Amino acid sequence: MTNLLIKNGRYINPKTNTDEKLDVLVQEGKVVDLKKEINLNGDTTVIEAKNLWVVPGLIDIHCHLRDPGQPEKETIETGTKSAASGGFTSICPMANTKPPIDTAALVEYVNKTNQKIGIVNIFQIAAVTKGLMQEELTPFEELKSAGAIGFSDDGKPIENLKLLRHALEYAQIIDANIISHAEDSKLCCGGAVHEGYWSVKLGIPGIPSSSEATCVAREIELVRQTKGKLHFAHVSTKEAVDLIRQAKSDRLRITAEVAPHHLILTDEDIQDFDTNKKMNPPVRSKEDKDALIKGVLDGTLDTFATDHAPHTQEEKSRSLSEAPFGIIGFETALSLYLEVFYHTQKLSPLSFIKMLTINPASVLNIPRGSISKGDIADITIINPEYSWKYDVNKSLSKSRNSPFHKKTLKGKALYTIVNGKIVHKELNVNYN
Amino acid sequence: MRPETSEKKIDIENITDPKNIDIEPLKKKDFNWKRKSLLTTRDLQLEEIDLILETAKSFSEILTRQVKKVPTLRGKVIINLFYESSTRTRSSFELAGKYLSADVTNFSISTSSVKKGETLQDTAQTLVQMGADAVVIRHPDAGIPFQLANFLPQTISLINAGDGANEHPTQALLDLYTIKAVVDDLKNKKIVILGDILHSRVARSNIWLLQKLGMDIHVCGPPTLLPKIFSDFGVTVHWNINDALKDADLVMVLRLQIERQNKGLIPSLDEYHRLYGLDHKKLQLAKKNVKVLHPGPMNRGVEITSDLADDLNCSLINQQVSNGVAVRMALLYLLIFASGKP
Repeated sequence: MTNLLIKNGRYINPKTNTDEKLDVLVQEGKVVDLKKEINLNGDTTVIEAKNLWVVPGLIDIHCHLRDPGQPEKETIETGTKSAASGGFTSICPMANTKPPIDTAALVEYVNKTNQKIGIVNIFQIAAVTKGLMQEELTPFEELKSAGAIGFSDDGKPIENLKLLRHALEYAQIIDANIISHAEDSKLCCGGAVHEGYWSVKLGIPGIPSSSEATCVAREIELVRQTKGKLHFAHVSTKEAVDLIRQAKSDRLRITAEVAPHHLILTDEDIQDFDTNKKMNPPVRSKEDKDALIKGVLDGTLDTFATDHAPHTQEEKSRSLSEAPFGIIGFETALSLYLEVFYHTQKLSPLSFIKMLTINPASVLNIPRGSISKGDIADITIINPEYSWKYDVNKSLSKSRNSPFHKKTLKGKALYTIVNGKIVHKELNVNYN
Repeated sequence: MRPETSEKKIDIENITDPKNIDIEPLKKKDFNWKRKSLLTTRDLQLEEIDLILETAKSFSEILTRQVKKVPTLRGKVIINLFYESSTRTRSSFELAGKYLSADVTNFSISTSSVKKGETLQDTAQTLVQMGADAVVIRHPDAGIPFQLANFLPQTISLINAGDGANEHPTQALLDLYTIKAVVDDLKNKKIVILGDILHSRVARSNIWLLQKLGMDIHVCGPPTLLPKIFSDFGVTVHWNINDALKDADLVMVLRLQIERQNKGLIPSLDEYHRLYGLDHKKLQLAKKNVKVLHPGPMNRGVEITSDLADDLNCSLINQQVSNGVAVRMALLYLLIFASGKP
């Protein structure tokens, strides 16, 4: 295996609170040296990283790879390629595939397939209930032994609170998280966009904020009672942020994530009836958007995610009511988060990178997120200032459902390195 | 001050060859009709509204003739693309096209087959290949005409004949035409739109349109069918019908979808009728010469009493139907012959 030397970069490693100019030497897939200046001859690939950020490989704890079962939307091969080009070295696909990931054999299928054709790490999330049917729990311990990192019926909430209570209790055997897709399925029923001024103006069935907030409230009470560990996926409302903030101050074991589209778009953007702006939960009001940003800044929301959710163009060419929820996000997430938090000076590079590395790693106990000496060499090299225009037709994902097509973005992952191996290198960039 | 326009009339008798059709007589000196499609009333200009109504007035005369046909749209193809069953609106468009000698054909597509069937892009291609000059679209979901417009060339006129709860602009225009025939100056006249406002495309298109003409718009219905947020659109919201009807010049009654009861939005049709059904007694609160509209089809005994619906002293419901054909003739004519160039 060739050595890799990353020279002159700005080394940012939130785990050790380091942000300084350091060269990074990688051997045998591990970080072996960090110094002001490392010079090597011989069989070494050198990456010149002047003015670039050298950070732990980005981690996405919420995505959908549609594998097994829906290769027309995405596969492990295309999904991991897309993730790599967005700077992600580790991703956590949700269990709502066809069939859902509810047995050890299916977790092994994902991991073996990924070893064969995937190019980034997959930490699979397994279903909470068998077949996502919300009747019986899946074998958490067996799934974890097979490689599952957390448990979620994402896509729908667990309506049966007694079953959810038991899941929160039982998961404590293996200290695992239950990841909650918080919505009330009756309140949101039939809705396509955020219920508010624009949904009413345009006659589009709405999803009220209370759909999320009522569910978050009742699940917080279950955590209070069971002392279990719960992670809220894709928080979208001000009310939910407030509830989670309170729950955290009550020292409950609750974490939460945000998705980039909820920080960029608002319900006003649905005026053009573009189904690529339809996702669940929906993009909400400006007040909600501002509350999410505040939630990130005060630590209520622990981590950034993508909620990468591929769908075919055929499905997305239906009406807003009929089109499926979700947008792809691997390749735009980093730039969008930079736009909201870094280019506005809301977060320092160190605090920013934290939200994509050590924070998601600690939420789900993922053995990644740091590039200290001896750590696995999952590294992302970012040019935070690089300006580019997103062309969804060039996406490595199989799907094209992005509302950010043609948007000018600032900041991009130029190299994605997994286990010391370059899996993505941005073309058309002047590396000098 | 807008220029006086009442003198303009289209010379229907002299239009015999479609090649010689000239819309100049209808154009104002300072206004040139360019609109190719009608998807919403929100973006209509006052000049456009005037021209539509004037043109409809000219065409309405044809409906009174023995031979109801002029060659205006000879050789033009109109496709009625209906994803939702409709008798009235579809027939109205069909007759409007036929009276103008267009070839009109109906595509009726059930939405359940769309789920597994062709995409909107493919449908658009089919319409283009069939040589459509105008497409009249109705769909049970909001927004589909706007989505289809992205896939159609600008040369094809697209007319929204109702998309979910969003809009039904030709209904609003025919309502306005009907109102203008009985009320001289609409400015500050009070109109009450009564019923299931939340799910009504007729209400929305009328609100956006009638606001442009300076009417005092009040909406009334139970809170489950009329959320308070409607007041953000510049209309007055009433949950109490007596407050709403006081001194009204016009009342537009909406059809109540019977399935609202099953969905838990209203407890019973009886209670709805008692609280919001329009009858002569409640109407006494309105102005003496109040007029009543209903887009049809009516649920007699639910949103309106039979007596009132049939009371020709105040009901404009029959006029709405015949005016609908004239307004749609005007729109087909104006849109199809528009240059489309801004």
